[in-house]
Amino acid sequence: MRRVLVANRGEIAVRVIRACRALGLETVAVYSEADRGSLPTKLADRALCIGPPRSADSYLRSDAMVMAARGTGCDAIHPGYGFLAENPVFAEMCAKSGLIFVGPPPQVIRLMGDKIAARQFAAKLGVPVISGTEEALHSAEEAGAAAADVGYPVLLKAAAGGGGRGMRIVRAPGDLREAFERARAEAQAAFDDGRLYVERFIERARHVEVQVLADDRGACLHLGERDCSLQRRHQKLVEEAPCPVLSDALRRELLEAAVTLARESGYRSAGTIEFLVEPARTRYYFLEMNTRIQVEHPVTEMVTGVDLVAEQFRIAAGSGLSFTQDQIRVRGHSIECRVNAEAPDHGFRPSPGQITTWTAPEGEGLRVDTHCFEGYVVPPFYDSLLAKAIAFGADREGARTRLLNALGRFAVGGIETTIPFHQRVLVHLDFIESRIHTRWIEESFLSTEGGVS
Amino acid sequence: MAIERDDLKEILATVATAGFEEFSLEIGDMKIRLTKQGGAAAVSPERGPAVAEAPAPSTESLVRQSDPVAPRSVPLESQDGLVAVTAPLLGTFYRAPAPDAPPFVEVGSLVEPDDTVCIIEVMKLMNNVRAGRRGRVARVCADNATLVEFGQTLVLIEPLP
Repeated sequence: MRRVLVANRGEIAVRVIRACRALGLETVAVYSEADRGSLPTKLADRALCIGPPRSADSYLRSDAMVMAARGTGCDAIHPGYGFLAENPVFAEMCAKSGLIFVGPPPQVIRLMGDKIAARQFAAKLGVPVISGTEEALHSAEEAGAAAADVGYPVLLKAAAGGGGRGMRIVRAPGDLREAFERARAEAQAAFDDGRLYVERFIERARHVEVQVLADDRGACLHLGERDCSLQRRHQKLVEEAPCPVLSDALRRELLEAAVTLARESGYRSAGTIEFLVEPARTRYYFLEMNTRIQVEHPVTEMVTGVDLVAEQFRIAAGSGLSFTQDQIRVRGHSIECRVNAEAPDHGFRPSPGQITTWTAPEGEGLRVDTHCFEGYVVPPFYDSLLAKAIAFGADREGARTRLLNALGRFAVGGIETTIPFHQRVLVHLDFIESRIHTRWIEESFLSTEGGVS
Repeated sequence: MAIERDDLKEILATVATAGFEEFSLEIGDMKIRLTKQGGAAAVSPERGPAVAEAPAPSTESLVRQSDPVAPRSVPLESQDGLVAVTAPLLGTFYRAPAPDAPPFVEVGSLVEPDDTVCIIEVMKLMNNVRAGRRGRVARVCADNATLVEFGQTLVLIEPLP
């Protein structure tokens, strides 16, 4: 492996390019017309325009990506997250064109991409899944029968799921029909696949996920867990490692289940297995597996010292993992805040436009992953992530205060950001004592925020 | 992006010589709308779905400048009055329909709007690129069988009435 096409944009493109540099790999960036002059295009050894702003005409064009890679003499493609990262057809296309896809084999992407199939796969391995339907539901009547079986409240989910789209909580039988039709339409529009299934909805649960790494020499190991319970509309906003509330026994079970799933699926590269942990913290359930590098991977890097993107490249090149499970130590604590171009005081409305001031905090135990700079225009075509502010501390409180301090020094002008929101979350007693769950922001924090300054 | 007096002059000159009846341009808060006498709307700002159906490159590109993003770096109408035919997609540039066939155009060739001037190959799919206007080929700007980017200038045409 010598030259890599970075098939993405934004902060993750920058992150991948930096990993390539550290490994001595050359990089080719691709960009849409809306990203002309963006940071990844400046950092890469070469940059190519692949199409107009609309993702479907640029970053989602697998043919353009493969052409760009072959035309510039690349031997590998890193897909980042989103766009083509979990598209099995793209991974196959890369292989057919003689390009190394920096990610798992296509058949694992396909298996885990179908959330119903993934659920069945986990259940077969003896990994607990939330009680629900085993097959896709064909009608609101079928959904009604299934919901009555598992008991209300239930969660309707899309088989092709992701990003909270096609997902609906239903609390009473009377609401099911409308929720079913809406979720199906949403899933059809988002994934071109309207299949739904139903699960029992667990109130006040936490989202805990396990980072795994596997190579093609038989090594398959975990790098501990992350807690991503702070979400708004199923979008993660704050993530941390390790999970502050897991007992050692439950942690051990979770980590073992994750490694089993990865190994038995024939996984290779970096991946994440997501679980739900019940409020009593005695039970956990498999949710899904994400077959890509994740946005929140830095918190794991901070507490393990492992460069996950660099390991993805080593695995893809066939060099194998450079360490064993025994050599992985989780030390200290790390918290990440996603700084988005959104106005938190106006219902998180998107806030694209020109950044007139940009001063990111720097310091010991601090890391900011970003593609932004002063004068950069945040285009309205893509997701709103501007930066990830990540802090490390000897313990959770150390990480929290360091991050809070850093956010106070994070100066962004010209557009609205979620920085003020994060500052309020980080000082909230529920967060300090980690009495949070996946609906805490919507049900508790935002509804009582009037009284909290 | 601010519009200077000279820019406006150039835009007006471009529109005056171009074959369309109506022209609109938006840059930030500024909007320009020009209609030739008695002209009906003839130019659609929508991108054509396929290469063959795409509107004349010059028109399309001027319209696209209304996007609230960084301006294009590729000059679409150079100072000597030449008009660029740009790559409608990233791919491999071919001057001829087959390796042993003569090129579609040479410098000096006369072209009609619907004439193919080159091919862009994407994953074995051949996309014909049309001249988009009547004129004489002044320059071929890309090397045969090389990768070209989206929006890259491929051929410069000297417009003829």
